[in-house]
Amino acid sequence: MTDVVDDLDARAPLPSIYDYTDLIREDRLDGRLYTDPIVHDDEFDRIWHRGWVYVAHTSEVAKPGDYAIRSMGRQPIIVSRDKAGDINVLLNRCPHRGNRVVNDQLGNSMNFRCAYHAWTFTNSGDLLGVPHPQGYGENFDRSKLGLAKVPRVEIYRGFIFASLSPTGISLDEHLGRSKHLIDRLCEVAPTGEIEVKSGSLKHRMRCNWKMIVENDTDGYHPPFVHSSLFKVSINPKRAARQAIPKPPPDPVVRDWGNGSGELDYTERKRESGPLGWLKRFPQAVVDDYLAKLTERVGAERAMDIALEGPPHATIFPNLFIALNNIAVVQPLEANLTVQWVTPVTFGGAPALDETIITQTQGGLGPAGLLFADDDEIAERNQLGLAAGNPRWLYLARGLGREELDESNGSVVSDSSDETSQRAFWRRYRSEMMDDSPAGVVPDAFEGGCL
Amino acid sequence: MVEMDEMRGVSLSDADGPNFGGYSRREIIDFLYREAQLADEHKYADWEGLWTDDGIYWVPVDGNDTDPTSSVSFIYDNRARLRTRIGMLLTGERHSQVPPSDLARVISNVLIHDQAPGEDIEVTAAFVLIEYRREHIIWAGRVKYLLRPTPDGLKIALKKIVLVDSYDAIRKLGFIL
Repeated sequence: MTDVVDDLDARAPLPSIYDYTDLIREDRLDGRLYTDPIVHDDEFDRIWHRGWVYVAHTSEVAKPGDYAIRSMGRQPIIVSRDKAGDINVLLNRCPHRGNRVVNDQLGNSMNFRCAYHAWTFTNSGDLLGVPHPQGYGENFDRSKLGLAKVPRVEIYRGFIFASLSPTGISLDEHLGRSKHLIDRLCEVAPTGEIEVKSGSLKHRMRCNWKMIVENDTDGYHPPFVHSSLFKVSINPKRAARQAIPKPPPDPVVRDWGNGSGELDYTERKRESGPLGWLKRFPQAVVDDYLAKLTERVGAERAMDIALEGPPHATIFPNLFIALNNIAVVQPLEANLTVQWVTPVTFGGAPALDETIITQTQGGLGPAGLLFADDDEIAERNQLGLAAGNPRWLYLARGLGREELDESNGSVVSDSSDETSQRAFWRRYRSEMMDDSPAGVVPDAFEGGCL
Repeated sequence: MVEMDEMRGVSLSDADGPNFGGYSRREIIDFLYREAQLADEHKYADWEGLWTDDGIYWVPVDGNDTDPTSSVSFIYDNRARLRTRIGMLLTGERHSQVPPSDLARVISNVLIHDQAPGEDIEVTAAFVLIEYRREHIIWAGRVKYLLRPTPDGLKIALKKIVLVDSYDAIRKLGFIL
């Protein structure tokens, strides 16, 4: 019998009508990158349905049978943990007539049954059985009619990444230096493992997904977009400090290569004392945390981790580590995006959980004291870009003052500079210009210029 | 008739008497209407004045049964955070409400539940709210209030709003729900 489930041979993306080196220049971007449905379709071919995409964290499907439904670009997927404890990423489409098989956002089941004709699959995708199989004749081969698997899945410290292309660069090559951003988050946990177990805030915005990613590490906007929060902050001194740009070394913005950017205020966090990046805790809580972390990493390293906390950084294309939060963008249309914001708690430090949840829902998500205003500005950005003149968005801030930080290989600049946005666009351009089935290894680091 | 009303947790037999912590059904419903009107009209300071000092303003994620200390909520404001939220609106620089959205809400299906003497009055209701902000946006859900009789009149000790789309992605929520 002929295979119904495609082996997903490597397929090159359709040719684009656009030359993305023309739309993306060193110091400027064509407005159509945010508004044009053709660009949006090209992104599905070249980024979301080809390259590595963050899909879920292993702790969201912690036990055998746990599953979650998500998407990669336009494609619905199931992330499941099977009987053996392995993670599966499956396309959520019945190979029979195309019904979406799993419909609960989260659940636990060893089998998935399609509601349409009751075809039943294991949670690793194998077809167990169909009603009245004799109707298919003698050559009916169940082994060829399982749920399609996403061809490449790799897990780094619990972060599940997947690629819909069967060939291409490794996750290691995709992440490059940005791997250490995940390390810096996980290292905060005394066990070295984060937990994603406290639900997500899902936020629907009438703007292009790239605006959200760019804004995540934009250090230029906070005094203006978030002025209302600074004005009523219970700690006016801290608010004033945050509103006044300080010279490097801190805060700064960094380009880590591979499309990854960081708004780095490590020194400022250190001023707030151990765990001060989260909250001023009673000394007993701090001591207990440090003691547990010391067991794994030693006292000196434990103190550094407690002072510096997790990073505030993006990993191309869809992952944002915002201190103790993971935010993920899900593009729907050129002008419509859903962002998931998920608090991260730290294994071995349950005393921090409640504070973490309180902080997440205070600042982030659709009602957040910060994000609701970022949303309004992003939506107006989308409205403004409908005007065709000027053709360009101006992205030159800091071009003349970026430096290579030889201690870690990043390109660093003043926190208000557009260095991290240029980092994103350099990676984006190389993906969008690539017509191969596999995707390219990101350009070697070239000093922060496009 | 009385039996059916008791099944619904409502004492309608003496509906207009001052039986709910000293307040009549009519007074309690009027209180909810006034609260809705203050929120619709963005009279933030007056609206904030309706709250007790230990009030909780809660918009959960994923339905009615989540624990706010272990699961994230769209909003779970204690009094201090609610003060910040209102204070931001009062600066006139809370961009998500500049200009304020035009709002109209309808509250209905109000049930006042029996309560022991001295306890907060539990009221449940359903609401539909139309926001106009460049387009019409529909909000709807079920609300649970705990209302406390005080020397200064009724105050809100809890307002929990379970949106019909609490499992899904929602639009920005800069106004008072």
